[in-house]
Amino acid sequence: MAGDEALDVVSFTAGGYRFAVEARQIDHMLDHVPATVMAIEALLGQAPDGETGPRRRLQVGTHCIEVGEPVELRAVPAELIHALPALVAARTRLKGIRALVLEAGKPLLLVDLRAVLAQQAG
Amino acid sequence: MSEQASALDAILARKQQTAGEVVSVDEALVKLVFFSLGEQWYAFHGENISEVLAESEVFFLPGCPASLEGVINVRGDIESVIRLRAVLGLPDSNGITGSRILLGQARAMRSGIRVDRVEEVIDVQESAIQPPPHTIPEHLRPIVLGIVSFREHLVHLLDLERIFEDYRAGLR
Repeated sequence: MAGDEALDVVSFTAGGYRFAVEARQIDHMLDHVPATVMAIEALLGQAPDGETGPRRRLQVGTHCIEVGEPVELRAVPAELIHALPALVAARTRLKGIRALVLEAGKPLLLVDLRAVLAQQAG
Repeated sequence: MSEQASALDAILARKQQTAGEVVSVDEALVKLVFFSLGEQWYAFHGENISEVLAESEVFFLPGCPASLEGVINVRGDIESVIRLRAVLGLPDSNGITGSRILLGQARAMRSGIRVDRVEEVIDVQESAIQPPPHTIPEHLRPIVLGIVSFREHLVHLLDLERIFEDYRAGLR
């Protein structure tokens, strides 16, 4: 039923703001700290803000991405997901932003992490 | 006596001025949305403005330039909001209350546009729009369609489509 359509995402924070990635892009969450970790802020092109809150690590393909807490697995109703307005899509400095969700008065930016990693590798 | 003469002169002068403003009922009218940024008045074609929003909550988005204020929810549709002052290279309006968001559309692009005040939405005669003078600042020339004299203001009629295109291309 179209009204029940939802997208499973893993949400987290980066630079003090809320982001999410499709759950299918995440392999698993790591309990340990591997030798090589990429900060989500650097990956997205976000300026470091000195945030020192708790962090978690997500395995995405061969990469380990460190993100800010809270990290949650949840379903976002499709009707809350919006394409980026044209001017935002054109002018954002962040990489891989695909859509946004407005819920409870706060924006949640949906990121295509795999595309960002592929772009970085290429 | 001299006071009476002075009053009469004023009345006659007003009558003469009014008589000079002959209106041709056949002339095409153009709807314009007049607004101001500080002391300067501007206008957009009414066909490009679908709504004037008074109190919309703007949600900040990280990673955007300062000229992009954020996004608003307009009955379920998400629209960007750009600060026209910044887009035109004007300083921030410190402490101005009662600003408005014009919901603009030009070709396939839509966005909210933050302005200081909305002054009037009115039909004017097409002939009232004069070509832009050579004296307007160089950075405004590509986006000024013409000049309209309205309520003792020389109003810049702006090209919203060009503003959106330039903004999307990062030129403003």
